[in-house]
Amino acid sequence: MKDMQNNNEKKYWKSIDQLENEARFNEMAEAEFQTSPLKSEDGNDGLARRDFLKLMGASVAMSATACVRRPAQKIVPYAKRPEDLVVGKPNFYASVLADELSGAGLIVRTREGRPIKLEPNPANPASPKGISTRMQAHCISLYDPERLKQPKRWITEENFHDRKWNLLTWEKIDDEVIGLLEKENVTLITNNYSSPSRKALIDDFMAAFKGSKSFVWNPLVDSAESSAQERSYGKEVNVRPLFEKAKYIVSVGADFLGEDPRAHEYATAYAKTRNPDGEMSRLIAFEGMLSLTGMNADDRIRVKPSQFIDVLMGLAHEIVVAQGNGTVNSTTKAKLVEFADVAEKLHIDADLFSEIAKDLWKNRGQSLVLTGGTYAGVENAEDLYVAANFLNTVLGNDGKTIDYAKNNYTTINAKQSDLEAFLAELDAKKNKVLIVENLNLVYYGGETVKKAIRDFQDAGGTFIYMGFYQDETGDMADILLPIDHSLEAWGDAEFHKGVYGIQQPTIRPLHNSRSLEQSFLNWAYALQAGSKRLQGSETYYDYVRSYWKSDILKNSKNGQAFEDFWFELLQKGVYGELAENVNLPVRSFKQSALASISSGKAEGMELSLYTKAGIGDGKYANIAWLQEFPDPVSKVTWDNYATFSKATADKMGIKEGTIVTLDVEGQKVEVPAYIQVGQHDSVIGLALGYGRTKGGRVANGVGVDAYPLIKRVDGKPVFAGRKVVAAKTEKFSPLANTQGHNTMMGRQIIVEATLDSYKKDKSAGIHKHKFLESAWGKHEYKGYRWGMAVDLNSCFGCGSCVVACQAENNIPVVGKKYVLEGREMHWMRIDRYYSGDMNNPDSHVMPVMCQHCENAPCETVCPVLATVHDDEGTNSMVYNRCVGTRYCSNNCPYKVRRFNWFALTKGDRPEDTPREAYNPRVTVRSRGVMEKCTFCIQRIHDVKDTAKNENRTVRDGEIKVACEEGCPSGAITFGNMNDPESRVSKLFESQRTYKLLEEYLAVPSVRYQTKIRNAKRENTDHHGEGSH
Amino acid sequence: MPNKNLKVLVGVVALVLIAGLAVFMKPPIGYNQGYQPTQPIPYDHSLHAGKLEIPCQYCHSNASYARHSSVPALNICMNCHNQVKTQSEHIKKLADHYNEGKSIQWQKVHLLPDFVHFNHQRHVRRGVACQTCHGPIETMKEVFQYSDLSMGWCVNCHRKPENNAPVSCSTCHY
Repeated sequence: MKDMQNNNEKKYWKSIDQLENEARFNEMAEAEFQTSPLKSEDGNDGLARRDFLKLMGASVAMSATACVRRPAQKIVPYAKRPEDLVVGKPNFYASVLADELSGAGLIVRTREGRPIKLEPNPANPASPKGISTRMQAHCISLYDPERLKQPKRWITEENFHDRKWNLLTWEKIDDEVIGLLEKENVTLITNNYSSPSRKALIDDFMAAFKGSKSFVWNPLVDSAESSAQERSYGKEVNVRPLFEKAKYIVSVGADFLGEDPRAHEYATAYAKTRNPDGEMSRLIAFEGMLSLTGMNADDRIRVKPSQFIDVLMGLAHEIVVAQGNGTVNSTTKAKLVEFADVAEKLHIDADLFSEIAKDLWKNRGQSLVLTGGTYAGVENAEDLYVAANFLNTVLGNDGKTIDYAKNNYTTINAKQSDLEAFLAELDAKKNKVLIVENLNLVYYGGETVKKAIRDFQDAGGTFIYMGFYQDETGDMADILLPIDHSLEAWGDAEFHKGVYGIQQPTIRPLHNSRSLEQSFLNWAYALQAGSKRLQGSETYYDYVRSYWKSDILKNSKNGQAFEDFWFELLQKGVYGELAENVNLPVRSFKQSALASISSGKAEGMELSLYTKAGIGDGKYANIAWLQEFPDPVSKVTWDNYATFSKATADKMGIKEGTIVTLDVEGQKVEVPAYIQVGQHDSVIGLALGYGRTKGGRVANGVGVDAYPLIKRVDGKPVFAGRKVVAAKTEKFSPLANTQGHNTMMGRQIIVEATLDSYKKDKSAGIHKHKFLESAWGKHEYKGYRWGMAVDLNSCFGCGSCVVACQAENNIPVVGKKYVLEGREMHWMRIDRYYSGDMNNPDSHVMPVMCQHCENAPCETVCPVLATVHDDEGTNSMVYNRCVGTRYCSNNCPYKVRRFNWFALTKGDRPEDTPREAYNPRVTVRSRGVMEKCTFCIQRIHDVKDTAKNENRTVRDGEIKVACEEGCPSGAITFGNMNDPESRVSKLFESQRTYKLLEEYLAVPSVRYQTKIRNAKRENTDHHGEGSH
Repeated sequence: MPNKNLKVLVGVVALVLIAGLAVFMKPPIGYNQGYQPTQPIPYDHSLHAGKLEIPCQYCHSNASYARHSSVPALNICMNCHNQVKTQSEHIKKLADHYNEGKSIQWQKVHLLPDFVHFNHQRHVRRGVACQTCHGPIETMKEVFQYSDLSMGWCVNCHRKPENNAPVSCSTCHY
């Protein structure tokens, strides 16, 4: 089975420190608040006597002046109020977020014309349920004070030292560019996009300038997938895995729940197959690092990236040769025989390996073999895909759980090899105008790109950068043009083949920006160049409309008039349907494609470059929310780090925070180490997206830049499997890890059971206490009683809820310094525990927010009644009563109360959330008060208002709290416990339900459902079954 | 020793004096009952709401739809005033602002204490008259704060059994 599982009593532990019971951990666990605010300043604990007297004097003076009226305030009404706007009420607009590599339908919540939050569009058949962390961050990037605000021109005077940026008007810029375009051709490179209108426009524009060339590139686009499709089946295509139909999933290095740009979509689909009362799917993960997918796998097997190919081919050998299933020709058979003893070679449990092969065959047509992404971005990544394609064909999954024609992905235009082609084009110096749009080429591409652009400029070329920031690339530009935010501009997206969304702006451009599309239209018009549609459209809005009219509606049988259609489209936000049941024929696999595949040559330590669920490729690095978002796996904020397995770290004498030097074929980086249990002993991981130098005040200097460590072989990037030599240094840099504190000290916290034991006993794993009677009287709830059910079985730990909560509730960012002191402010956290063998442990995740206890321990200790129970069962926090004794936090068994040590909302630090992004419906807290989850009480009030106006009670599901809304997999359900028909009541009746730390008799209103793992091994938590 | 005692004595006397002064002056702590600022345009409620009997919600149209009753936008003023009294210097100022798309910066009269969420909609729909809180507004030439808007004042009403109003802290404080 797994590496080791001989102890019956499984010990849950939260960090390595805890496992080893180091003194530091115990100290931290003891102290909820790790430092006194004055400690660092004067070296003494607490207030010095003189300070105390000073403060006393000041407060006497304050009380003497308190009778003065507060400063006069102004009321500034609209001059002309927009018709559909009611002051104080949000307006909602359907729109689209077309991120580089994925897209999702949105509802944009606006207040008085300001977009403040993104919410999922339920009308969209193609989009995921929740809102990912990066999408939420995208919303506030609109207000980033460091956005590029003005078009600029780099002026070189005679004296070199007088080079400077000149702010120019668009008219001046247009004059210059049009002058250039009259004579010269263009080389264009943009980031990937999923907008069909934009594609048509760029094609139109490029056609008008013969000799112009356009490229689409993204640093993370996985081109191996489509080229492997061609090698396997003869046609390039981006397929769509249908998780909702898969009963047996084998992932070889594919982190489809965490890193994948479409992780949210996949999580929504995958969650549908995890119902323990129905037919529950089984997920097997082979991986080198510990990823979210591995954490959620039913069985996880550690393999080095370079040996992923052996796993896939070994499985094929097991199925076809050893077990004699499927039909292949003799050459293929001979090829597969090369991989006969994979389990032995990779030190995998041979029984488990052949069992996986058997199960895959048993579930043929309903299984799924996956690979890809940066974890599997080895030099022979295409071979991995080919092998996976082979398996899917043999198993008959092709066309059943793999959609290659109906609603597959059609908008991945970027090619990894385009970077090399682009550099060659630039080197040829044919075209004298270079336009780079929305692509931080210099940061992603490094010195090579920098030199190429410099050479191009030295040869007299003009470099125009259209970007969102004056970033690493923007700094090199001759002409710097600000582009619109997607919430400021029209656009569209094709989510899947045949499913489109419309992007409507929700605010006028805040700055003097203009999109690439609008610039191209203006320039083409001035030059009288290009197609009729290009000439005939004054604005990009016109262009999008005419494109929809002529191209998207062309195939529609809908006889509706266009204006009616358009009106409906803007309301719904989406057009097109997903196919109900994909049942395509299995494509014939070209068996010659396997010929060049050979076994992985694994030697020494291997590097694995990956992206984190928060920061991603680094584009949003200037958004402090994402920097402070604890990584779902490591729980570290504000840094990237080299991850080592426990065994390797011990061997090298490395502790968390020890700076190590990584030497990758001569390229060296110095980076702090992090000990990641469950990682393969010969893998070192390092996240991309950090180490920005011109990313903005938040992004700069956080972590190290790992992009230079990507090797390019024939234009294909190698993320994983490169040889790396690590050396320990004597230096140390602490990592701001949110996991070492807030511990629950080893009680019944996360309950887990195997599917088999769940089928025998629905309450398997739950330890029941026989209670003493509570000393407190019961509250009476006449109307509503709010409660929340968290299904741990659907929670994958992605953390979208954490950022959704942050956006809704105006939660400040504290910065690395204070995270190190344990002062992060997130109202909810995802606790992550490990259990069992630490070389390959089981991981468990659990969202924890205020439990809104019936007998809340915090309420009884507050000396000023600042936290009290309300008559609908929520535990409310009255900010203006709070004097900051912190007794409540001290007495909270769940450690969910956060204290404002400083005023973090004044907007004077770069990390502060821009003022405009605050939700006006929620109080902005200041220094000295306690705060915590309120069950989104503002949303409860708003819905109750609507219900009262309509003379009815609140419907079940009508109130959606922010975390529930952000969750892709529907793990969180909120509702009225007093209504026996509500979803929460039903869930609470389920025998899987348990209360966190039930023995305290706090009686939480948040209740959890056990996690069921479809694994064979028995799984008991340390608290034991039964009751006492 | 005597020196230290003297210091303590002086301190105590000073504190007593300050406390005494505070009690004597009875400062209205934080509340603004009676506050009557001068507005940029001397809008007369006694004329509009009193003599002309224009319903309150003609102008404060949000009051039954949202938390804020909201000061009307200039387009509401101009509904009448592009015909009525167009020669008055104040109306000219109003019209200029409207035509230029500029707002009038009114002085806020009613200041609720911080961290309180008041909901006009709930009260208006329940049939609470505007005058209950705002006083005889139809007689005010210049508006002043009639009630002290303190929590005690709010709760006095909410506690009356016939009103059946919620008294949870979280009704208003969140």
